[in-house]
Amino acid sequence: MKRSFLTAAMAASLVVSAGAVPVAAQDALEGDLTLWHTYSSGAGTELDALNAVLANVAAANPGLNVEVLEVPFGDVFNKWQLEVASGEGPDLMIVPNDSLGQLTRDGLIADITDMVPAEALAELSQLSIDGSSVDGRLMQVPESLKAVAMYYNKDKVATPPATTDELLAAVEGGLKLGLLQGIYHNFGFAGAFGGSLMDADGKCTADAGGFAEALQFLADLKAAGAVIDPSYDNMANGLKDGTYDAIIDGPWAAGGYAAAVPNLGVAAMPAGPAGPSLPFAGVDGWLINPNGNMELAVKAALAMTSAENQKIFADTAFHIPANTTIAIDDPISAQFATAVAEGFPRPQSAQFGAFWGPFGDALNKVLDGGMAPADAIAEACVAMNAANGF
Amino acid sequence: MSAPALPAPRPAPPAPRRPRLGRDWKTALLFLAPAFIVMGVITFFPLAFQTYISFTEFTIKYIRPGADPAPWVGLQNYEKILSNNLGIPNFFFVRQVIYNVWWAVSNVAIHVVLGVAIALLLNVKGLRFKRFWRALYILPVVIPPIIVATVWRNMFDTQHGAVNQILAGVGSLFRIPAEAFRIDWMRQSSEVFPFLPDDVSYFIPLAFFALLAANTWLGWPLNAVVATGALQSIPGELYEAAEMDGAGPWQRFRNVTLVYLRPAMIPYAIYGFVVTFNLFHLAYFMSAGGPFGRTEQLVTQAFRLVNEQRLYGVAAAFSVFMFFILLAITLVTNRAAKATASFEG
Amino acid sequence: MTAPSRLPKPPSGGLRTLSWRRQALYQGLCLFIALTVLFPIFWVVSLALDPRDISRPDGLSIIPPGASLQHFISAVEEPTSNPVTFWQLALNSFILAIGTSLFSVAIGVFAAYAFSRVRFRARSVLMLAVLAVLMLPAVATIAPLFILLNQVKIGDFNLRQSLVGVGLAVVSGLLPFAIWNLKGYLDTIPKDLEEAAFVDGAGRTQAFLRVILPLAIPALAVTAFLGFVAGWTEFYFSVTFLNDPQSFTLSVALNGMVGQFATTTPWGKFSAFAILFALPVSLVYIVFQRWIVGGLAVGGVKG
Repeated sequence: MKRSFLTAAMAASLVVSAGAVPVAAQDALEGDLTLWHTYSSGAGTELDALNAVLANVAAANPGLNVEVLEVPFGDVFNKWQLEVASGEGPDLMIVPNDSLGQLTRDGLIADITDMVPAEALAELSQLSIDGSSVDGRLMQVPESLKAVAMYYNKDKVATPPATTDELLAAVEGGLKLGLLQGIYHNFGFAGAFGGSLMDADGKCTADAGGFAEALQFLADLKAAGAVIDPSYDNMANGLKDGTYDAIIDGPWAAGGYAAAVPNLGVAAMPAGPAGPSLPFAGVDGWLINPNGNMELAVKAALAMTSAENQKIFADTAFHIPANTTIAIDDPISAQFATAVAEGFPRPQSAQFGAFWGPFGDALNKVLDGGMAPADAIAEACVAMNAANGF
Repeated sequence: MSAPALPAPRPAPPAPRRPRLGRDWKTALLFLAPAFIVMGVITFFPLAFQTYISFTEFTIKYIRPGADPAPWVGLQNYEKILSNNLGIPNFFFVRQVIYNVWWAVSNVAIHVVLGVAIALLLNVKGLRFKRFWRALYILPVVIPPIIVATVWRNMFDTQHGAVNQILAGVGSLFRIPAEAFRIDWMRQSSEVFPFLPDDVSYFIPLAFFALLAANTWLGWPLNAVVATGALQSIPGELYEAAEMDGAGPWQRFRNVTLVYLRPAMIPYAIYGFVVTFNLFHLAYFMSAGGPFGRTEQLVTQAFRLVNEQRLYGVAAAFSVFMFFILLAITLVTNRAAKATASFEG
Repeated sequence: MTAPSRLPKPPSGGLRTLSWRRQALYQGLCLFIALTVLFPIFWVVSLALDPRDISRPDGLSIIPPGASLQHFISAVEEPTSNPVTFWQLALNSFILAIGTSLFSVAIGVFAAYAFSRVRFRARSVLMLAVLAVLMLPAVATIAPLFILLNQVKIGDFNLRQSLVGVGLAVVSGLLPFAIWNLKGYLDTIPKDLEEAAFVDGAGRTQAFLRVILPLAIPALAVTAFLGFVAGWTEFYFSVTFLNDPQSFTLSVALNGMVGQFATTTPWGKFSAFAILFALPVSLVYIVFQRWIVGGLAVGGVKG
């Protein structure tokens, strides 16, 4: 930590001295904060970006003491819940908005609608604000957006397939495609085939069409030679060592891929007969602990998501900033920004929580068990509705 | 031909009546106090609390100090489990129990047989380097479980795993192309033995065999150690006496070796059964519950209920179920063991 | 391998030496078994030495081409991104493992002795309670333990957030096991020995300490060793309870490296770390091997 901190601090001072927009004039923050994150040092460059931003904030607020803890992503939500529920916990943490709805309903994160000044909100994209809100209340300080798109090796793939038919043809023609066998990464295809997951009440409408065709498409890809594997490791390593020419993944890993693949390209997930792919558009943000120093935490979060600091994340870690005043230069990030803008905002309703189990299972049943996609989706819908009490 | 007469290993002689070995509850109290005070607080209380919350609908918000107690739902959690109504896919409680028992039984049987066989091998008179081999064979036991699970998962990987590579290497000797050995150990759901009825095949997916291999690698060394100890305590003259009476090697094994092995292996097998029944790491990290939950054990399912579903009440009910199942099995095996081995003290 | 001296030593069986053919056959078998045992270990070693961060060894060679110790160095220099050194992690692991195992053995042996020797009214009930605990998995006790340990706060010190708290959580499962295991062993020690001590005028406690305990060393060794392993490898409570990186253990760091949903496992570093992690346990075993194996081996034999 010491070594990377020093290099990050040096990088930060370079950015500051390059004449970037200074932090908006405000009273310097003072006090103690505890902060959690899940950026593990091996996978990408997010940790470096965070360290640089922290260095910036420390420089601008010498009276502010921030204690940083990295928690493994698989444990962080449980840990947060246990701690906050028993009256303790850190002051803030940065995570994707996966559980925003559930945490709100359980009273484990603070409602910060009234703590974020209007000027700050004005700089943020509407999509990020929506993704950070539950029932109209703002529950996290938005940091970045993400959606999956197709990474490809430009040396092997001249023009990336733009439609699902083209992709299938390419795979049949020898394109080495690696997909993750998970419902999150492949959700976009459902929209490409015209599927819609839930109606306004949260009742499952996936069996009305679209989803079954998407699963059939995946089965066709597999039959044509694509490798669909539940191991994230295998997919990521596969692109890096050349086993795969193309994969579908999110911007969080772009740093690692860019380092390993010299000519890296990113394209939107292929469009389908019914329109463009609609992958999940998620928002990473700072959750605030209702037990902690909320005001200070919110101010610190806003400082860390200022335009200048968001630029660091955008440049170093390929994040798509929630702040609309930042220009995205990098072609990879630009492509992800498009994917996000055209994505399907991740629902926060309680009913959505019942989506993952049944539909993940449907995917497995079709790909591993050879089940007919229509039947699998029908079953999944029934199970999801049953879990939601419909 | 009659078996040679054996001196039965004597059970411990009954304690003669003496004042100090009698109803000495004061000493008992002194000796037991520290342990039970500690256990009372950190073992019994949480377990009692766990049993209590199995009758409630306990979710995370009830942890807050000063919160209302969780709503009492009586046996609802238990009913939900029994009727497979937990809102998670592929959850069939009875099948999970059957699989769990089968998993423990099959593993222990193989471990004991292998352990005894290898102990016999290492006990051969005149075999050199015994100590070296013995020290080597214990290695799997000292490797932490998370590493065992992760490494074996890697080894059974479909694309790059060592197992498939070795199989492909062997297959190439028979001109079988390497592609035939992209075996999807963890997710293949089709039957391994097509001639078996579906109900039986359900419990032995390919993932089961992969887990079996990994656990066998882990399990036989300790069995071999226990067997070795038993073997080494057999007085040599028994074998000589048997030989003089004309007993062949198999009969010598049955009437001498086995008699001494049994009292050592049976308690250890029962212990091994409980451990294997509750073995967490392999099922969780290697097969993640296997193809469609078919290699899910009760303990991994309970863990998921806590970690992923945050259904503390249901997970607690699950644990209570596990307790009764294990209790029943242990009582049954204890009784069976006592019936066969007449030398238990 | 030495059996405890109180068992009759089997006479050194006849001067039967093996024909070289037989010897070769058996040695071959032993070698084959050794290979199956060692193969996964070679796998890990190969991954740890390989400078590329690949997820599986390329060829089937233990020492890959270009082997280097860089993963080991990186594992030691920066085990996690949290500010804690490898040595601090190792120290915490040691403290936790040794502390929990010694504590449970020390307290457990007294209770085991009482169960084994002394007849008192509540004996069967309490023994049943201990057995029951052994078979009741503690999966859902994380929440009550969390709350319970969180209650103890002295000034700045929060029991739950300390290694002591984690240690107590580990002991909660270790102590019943120690009692059960030790009782089983103590049962096999003939009561005549204490009788002799009483005849000589020793009190109950003295008889226990002077006569029984020394004989129970193999069982104590086994129980302590298994307790050590349990404490060394425990990570669930540690990850959930601990917030201060200075009290993290090696196990926490290792588990943090196993990539899950959206992160990749740094295989080289993980394998190197795994080797470093498994080494102390292996060393402890080798040093205490004689007693540990003795304790395991003699368990069921009486007479």
